[in-house]
Amino acid sequence: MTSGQDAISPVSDGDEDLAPVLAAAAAGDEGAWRDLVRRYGRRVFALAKSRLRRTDLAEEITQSVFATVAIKLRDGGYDEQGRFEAWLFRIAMNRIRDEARRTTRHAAPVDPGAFGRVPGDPEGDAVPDPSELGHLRAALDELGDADREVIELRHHAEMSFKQIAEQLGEPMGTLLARHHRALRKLRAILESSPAAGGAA
Amino acid sequence: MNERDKSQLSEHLDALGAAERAAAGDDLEAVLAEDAGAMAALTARLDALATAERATASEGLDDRVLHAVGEVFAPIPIRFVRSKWVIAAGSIAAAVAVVGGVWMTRFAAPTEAYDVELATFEQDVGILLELYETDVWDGALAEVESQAERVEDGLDTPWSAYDDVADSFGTGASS
Repeated sequence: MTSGQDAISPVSDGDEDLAPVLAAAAAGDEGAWRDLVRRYGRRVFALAKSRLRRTDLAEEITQSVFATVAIKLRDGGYDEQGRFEAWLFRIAMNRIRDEARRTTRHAAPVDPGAFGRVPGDPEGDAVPDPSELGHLRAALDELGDADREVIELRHHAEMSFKQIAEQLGEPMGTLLARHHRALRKLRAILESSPAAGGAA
Repeated sequence: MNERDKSQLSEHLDALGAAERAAAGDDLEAVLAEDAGAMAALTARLDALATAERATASEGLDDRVLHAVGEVFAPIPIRFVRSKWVIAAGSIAAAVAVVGGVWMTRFAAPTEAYDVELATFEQDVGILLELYETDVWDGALAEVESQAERVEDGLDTPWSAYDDVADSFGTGASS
């Protein structure tokens, strides 16, 4: 049960405080898992939801990702030398890509509530109205997979550029250029959409 | 977005689109400011969208995730019992037990009751036959006949049932 602890080495890249949490999680400690789910659960969900547009699928994938992480931690399969967050989201992205391919083949229905919900905003008036978010979602759909992936990893998964660069195996400069180009394309799509009204 | 990311993004703005426009004759500082402002607005909208997506998760998501994790760390026998094959086999066994129980109730149980009744009857008959051949039986008959004689002699009250009883066994005084 605790074999995974040997694989947990001193961490870096913002994961310093995770080392004891991961060691406890590898031993099956519920408190440690609550901590990990609190830190990353909704971020994995948002990443899946943005790509798949279905709440049920996104939640299923979130559970599946954490179960996979639990198995690997338990069995000592985590050896990323302090890059837990990047490792977690790599698992998530692989799972999301698989599901996206599967649902594309089977033409899964879009979550009917996806465009109508008013988002919860803990900071007050910073959130645009739902229709504006709907246009933004539609614009994201028009981006190519590579551009979209960078944006979603940055904003939905809340990863740092350094983590994204490491995950995608690209130099930091290249990654930043990709992100910037993706934003420009998104801006252009939004500005060309009559409904957007040049809001970007 | 933290300060480091902002700085890197700013450098990139300088290196990419802004520099292209500046090269075309626009004022570099104005171009940078305009481009950075537009990009900041877009990234804010993307962050808001991500916040909105996170808010669509159902209330119980965290608990379900923790449950899925708990399954991984559950003891092996429990995991085995919870496996779909064991559940399927258990369901089939339960269905067979129910059908078998119904069958036993509807068909097997009456047969068994009949067998018990038959055995009881045979046992009772056996006791009667054995009793018939013993001194007890003979003594009882003698008593009946004695009683009958006393009735006939007027020494006792009439026992109207005497002949019926004696005839039923074929040993009555009248036979």
